[in-house]
Amino acid sequence: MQIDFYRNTVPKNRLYRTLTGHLTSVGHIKEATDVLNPIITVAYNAYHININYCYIPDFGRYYFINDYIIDGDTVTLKLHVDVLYTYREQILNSQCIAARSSSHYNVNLIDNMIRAEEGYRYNFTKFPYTFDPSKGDYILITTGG
Amino acid sequence: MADRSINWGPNGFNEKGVINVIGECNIGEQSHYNIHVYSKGLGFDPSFHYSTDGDENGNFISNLEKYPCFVLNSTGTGQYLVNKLFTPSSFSSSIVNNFSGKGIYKDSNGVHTESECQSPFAIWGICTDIGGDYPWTDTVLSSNLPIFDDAQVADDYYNTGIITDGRHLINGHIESQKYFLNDVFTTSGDPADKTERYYQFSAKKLALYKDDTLTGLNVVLTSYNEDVIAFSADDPNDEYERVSTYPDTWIRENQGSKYLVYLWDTNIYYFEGDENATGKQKADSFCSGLPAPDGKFYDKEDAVNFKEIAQRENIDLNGVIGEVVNVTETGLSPTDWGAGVRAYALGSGTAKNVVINALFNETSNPVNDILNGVKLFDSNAFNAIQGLFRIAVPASDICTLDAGTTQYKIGSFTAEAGKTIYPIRANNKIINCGQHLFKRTYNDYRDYEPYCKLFVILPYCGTYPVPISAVIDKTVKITYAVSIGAGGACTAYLYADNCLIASYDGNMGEQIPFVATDRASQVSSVMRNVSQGLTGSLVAAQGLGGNAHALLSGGTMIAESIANMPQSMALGYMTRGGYSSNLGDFGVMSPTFVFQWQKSVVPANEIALIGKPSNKGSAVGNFAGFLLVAAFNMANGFGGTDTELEEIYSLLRSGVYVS
Repeated sequence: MQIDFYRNTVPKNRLYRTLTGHLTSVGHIKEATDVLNPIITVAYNAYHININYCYIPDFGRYYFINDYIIDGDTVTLKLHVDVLYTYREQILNSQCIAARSSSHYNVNLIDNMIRAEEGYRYNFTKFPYTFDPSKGDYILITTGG
Repeated sequence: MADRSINWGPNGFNEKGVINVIGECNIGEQSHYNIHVYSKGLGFDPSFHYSTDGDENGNFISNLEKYPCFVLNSTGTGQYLVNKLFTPSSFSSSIVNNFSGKGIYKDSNGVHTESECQSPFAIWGICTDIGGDYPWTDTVLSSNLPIFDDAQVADDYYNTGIITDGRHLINGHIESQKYFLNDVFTTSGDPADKTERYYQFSAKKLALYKDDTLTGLNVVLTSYNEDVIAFSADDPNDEYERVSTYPDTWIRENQGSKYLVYLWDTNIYYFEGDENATGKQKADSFCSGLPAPDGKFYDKEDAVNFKEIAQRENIDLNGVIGEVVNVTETGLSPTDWGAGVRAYALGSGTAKNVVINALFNETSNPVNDILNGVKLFDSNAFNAIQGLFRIAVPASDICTLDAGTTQYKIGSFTAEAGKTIYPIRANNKIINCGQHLFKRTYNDYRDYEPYCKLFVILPYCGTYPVPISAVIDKTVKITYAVSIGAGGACTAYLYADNCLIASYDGNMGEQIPFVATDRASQVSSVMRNVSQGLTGSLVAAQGLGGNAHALLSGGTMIAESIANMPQSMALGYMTRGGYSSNLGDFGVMSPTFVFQWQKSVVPANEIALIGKPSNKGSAVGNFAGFLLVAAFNMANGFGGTDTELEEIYSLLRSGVYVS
């Protein structure tokens, strides 16, 4: 079956990929395998050790290449499905409630990333009026008439 | 050299400038602390700007072995202001043109100085020099004068009254003069091609508007009067440099796979059109202050991002210190002192001595005549004298006085006072201590309890916690009522937006012992109140102990989030606002609000790296940058397996980068 190989330079926890070095090869399923974690063999090509990503049209899925095993003139590749990129359109259109976000956030919510530092910061606001006891009055109260 | 920060107070600007320095040190240690504030007044010689230490000529003032003090020097027509904080042995301050010393307060462990100066006045350049190894608490230097970190901007302000670059304002900001716009995007869909644009603007008014006629670059920057000064940086953490040109179109939203926005962040108001006006018309109305073609005046509240900007973590310091009003109000006490039992304001200083001496003067007040006049009181004149005390304010501030007289009544005897005294007609005035508008500081949850505590120090009444939500964004006013009939007992009233929210009782009357029983009663009163004060101190000490415990296990505390800090935070220092007794004269003399924040650290890259708490709901594609979901519902059309769906949930709950 056809396999499109790429080199991906974007970490797995992104909803986008940067794919370069496209190469189409023919591969074979080595044994009974899980479509989410297939193991396939392709004819050895030095190029294969420089790629880390592939797309299998028959499965309709993108895969990370987790492992290479070179055995003579064949290379065995252990794959794992890239769910974020394979289903990115559905994910982008799906509703969510964000716990944290770089673009839509509320600073009035408690933020566990803000750490307490030793000590306090003070602000003093002194009102304009100042009592001056030296200008106070003595008061005498008497009974009389 | 130790590193000590200066906290600038959140004061607004006012025609009547005030500079405060509050600091504490451990007296007895051989150390010094210098704060230099360079200022400019009338006829100031700019060459003095560059003196980094000592007097106006740059000579170190070596003979000032002082308590922390506030020294103002002047020479010729120039002015030069230096704050010198030394320790220990004596105290001194001097006065220069347009300055007057005011309210200097010090005790054995600190100092609080305050000086006034008249506008126009500009301050720039802060230099701290701290020597020795000794326990200092943070020094607070605050002013309602604009203070700059740039000499040229300070000079411009002095000459024109205009702040030409609000970014150099240390103790506040001019809202319309500090803008930023961060825009990181790619026009190819490839992150490798991303363009990073970080700008700061100084302008009277800036606005953004959406122009649907443009493709891609769909947001336009516009300004009022083309008075924009722009600064740019390749990295937001780098220093921004002045640039002569800047983009006027920006990418705000993703547009398919070609235009991808990685970061859009600004505090410039952004307008979009509707059926009444286009985005440009709204932006132009906002900038010009003129109505749009639909006749409506568009303001910042009409901006799409108004709420987001309002929530930003900027420090909004627009407080205004109110003038001392001294407005008198009537109806406080209905008691009439016109006859029968009368109260007399004797005056200040030696008034008491004169009047009491005269009472014992056989010539002016013969004893036999006195005794005849007080037969109703068992011929004991002292039974007819109901009280003699001193209050801390002029009687005329709290009472309506009759015309002055030199005589007063004891029983039916008319005594000679020996000086002019003033019979009190009614105790019907209050003291207005001024007002202040408190603004939020962080503009986030740290502005409120338990992350921040607010205390009010009320002379003659004490120190009390105040609920922050009751006063924030409100004009707070304090008034005092003082009772003559109750021997100087007083009540302080706390208003927020003219609504009374709290009152606190105290006493500013010092009882003058007239007979032996008075003396015994006074001492008893003081001791009773000291005892109460000790109880209060114990309570406070327990609070401090709680904090001390937290600090002792500081490794744990610091490692924890500020969200997990102790729920109770006592005032971190001890002061005496005044006891409910006769010792208030030894306390703080002006009502003072103390905001106490737990210090906190915000990672500079937090928003880009891990975002901030959100709790907002929308489609995933409407978010940008980092996204960590609390709930997620896959849209219809998903053709994967349950295992894949679980993995998607797991990844989104761990956090992903959408763009």
